[in-house]
Amino acid sequence: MAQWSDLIVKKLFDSGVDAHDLSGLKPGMTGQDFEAALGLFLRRSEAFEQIRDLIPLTSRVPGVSGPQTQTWYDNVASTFERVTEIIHSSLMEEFHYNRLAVSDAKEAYGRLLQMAGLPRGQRLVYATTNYDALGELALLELGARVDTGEPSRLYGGNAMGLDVAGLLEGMGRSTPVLHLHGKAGWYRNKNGLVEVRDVQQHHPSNGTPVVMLPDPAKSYSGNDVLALLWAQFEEAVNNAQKVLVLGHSLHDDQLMRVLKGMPDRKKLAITFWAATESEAAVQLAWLQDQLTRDPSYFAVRFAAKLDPLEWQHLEAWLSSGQRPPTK
Amino acid sequence: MAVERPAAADEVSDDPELPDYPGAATGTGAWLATHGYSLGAAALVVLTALLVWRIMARTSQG
Repeated sequence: MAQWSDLIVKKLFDSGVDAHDLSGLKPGMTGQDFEAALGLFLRRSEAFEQIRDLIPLTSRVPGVSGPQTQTWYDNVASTFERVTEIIHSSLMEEFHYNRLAVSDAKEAYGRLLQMAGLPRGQRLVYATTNYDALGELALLELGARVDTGEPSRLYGGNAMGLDVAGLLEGMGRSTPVLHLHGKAGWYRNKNGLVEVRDVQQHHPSNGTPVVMLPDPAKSYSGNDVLALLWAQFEEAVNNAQKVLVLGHSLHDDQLMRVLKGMPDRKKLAITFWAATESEAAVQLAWLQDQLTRDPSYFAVRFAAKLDPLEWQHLEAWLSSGQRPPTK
Repeated sequence: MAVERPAAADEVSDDPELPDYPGAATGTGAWLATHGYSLGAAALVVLTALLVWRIMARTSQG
C-alpha cells in the first residue's frame, strides 16, 4: 500500500497539479493514513461535484463576484478531476497483471491450500480486496477453475459483459473469486455495461473504472457489480465451514460488518503481522476488541515460502480446527 | 493464457463431496440440478488484502 501511495504522490508532483491541500496525500504515509486521506479526498470530490448547480446562485450574495466564484469552482473541480484520473492511472500501472510474480504466489497459495486440504481450490471461495489478478492467476496455475465473472478471453484482448451474478452457484465445479473492491481493467462504458479491458495505462476514454478506492468508510452502494459481489461474500462467509482472513488490516467498516455478523465467529481465523512484538500486541488487542476472542488469531507472514514453525498453529486450525495455544 | 468460464450450471460435478440430486440421472430431478449447488458446504472462504502482498515483481516505478 505504501508503494502505491508513494507512486500516486510522485505522479501528482510530476503532473504539476497542486494537489496536496486537496488530497492530503504526502510521501511516506502509512497504509492507514493513506486510506484515510484518500477516502476524505474522494468524498470531498464527490460532494464538490454535487454543488455544481448551486455555484451560479452565489452571484446573488451581496459583495460576491459570481464570475470569480465560478472560475474558482471550475479550477478546483478540474483539479479534483485530474487527481482522480492520476489515482486511476496509478492503479492500472501498479496492479496490472504483467507486474505480478505469479510463481511466488502459486507457491504460497499452493502450500496454504495443501494445509486446508483443498489442493485445487475446490469448495473454496476466494475473496479479495486486491485490484490485481494475482490470487486468481495463482489458483489457476494450481489447477483451479477460477470464476471471477469475466467472460472467456485471451489476455491481451478486451471482452464485454462482466457477469458476477451467481458465482457461488458454480462452487465445486469452479472456484468463485470475489473482487470486493473491483479489479484493475474493469470499466463501465457509456452504456452502463462493464467491459473487461486489458490495458496497462488508464485513459478516461476506457470508461469509469469499477473499483472502490481505499477509504475505511467506503461504501459499495450504487454500484451494482460490487453490491452483487458483497452479497455473495456475505452469504459465503455466513455459510462456510471456515473463514480465513489473510493479511487484511480490517480497518474497513463494510468488512467488519460482515465478519461481526457471522453466526459463529469460532469459524473465523485472522492473520496479522507487525514489525515488533509490541506493535503486534496492539494489533491483536484491537482485533479482539472488535471481534471478541471467539475467532482464532495467528501472527504469521504470507510470503512465497511459508515458515513451517510460524505457520504450524494455523496449519492445525486449517486441517483440524484446532485453536492456537493461548499465551 | 485463457481464463475459462466454468461449466454450465447443469453439468454434472466431478467433486465427490457434492451432494447427489435425487433423480438427476433419470431426469426427474433435473430442475433441482439446474439450481446448482446450495452453498452450505463452502469448506473455506479466504479473504485476502492489498496489505498482505509483498510479492510484486518490481518494488518501485522507474
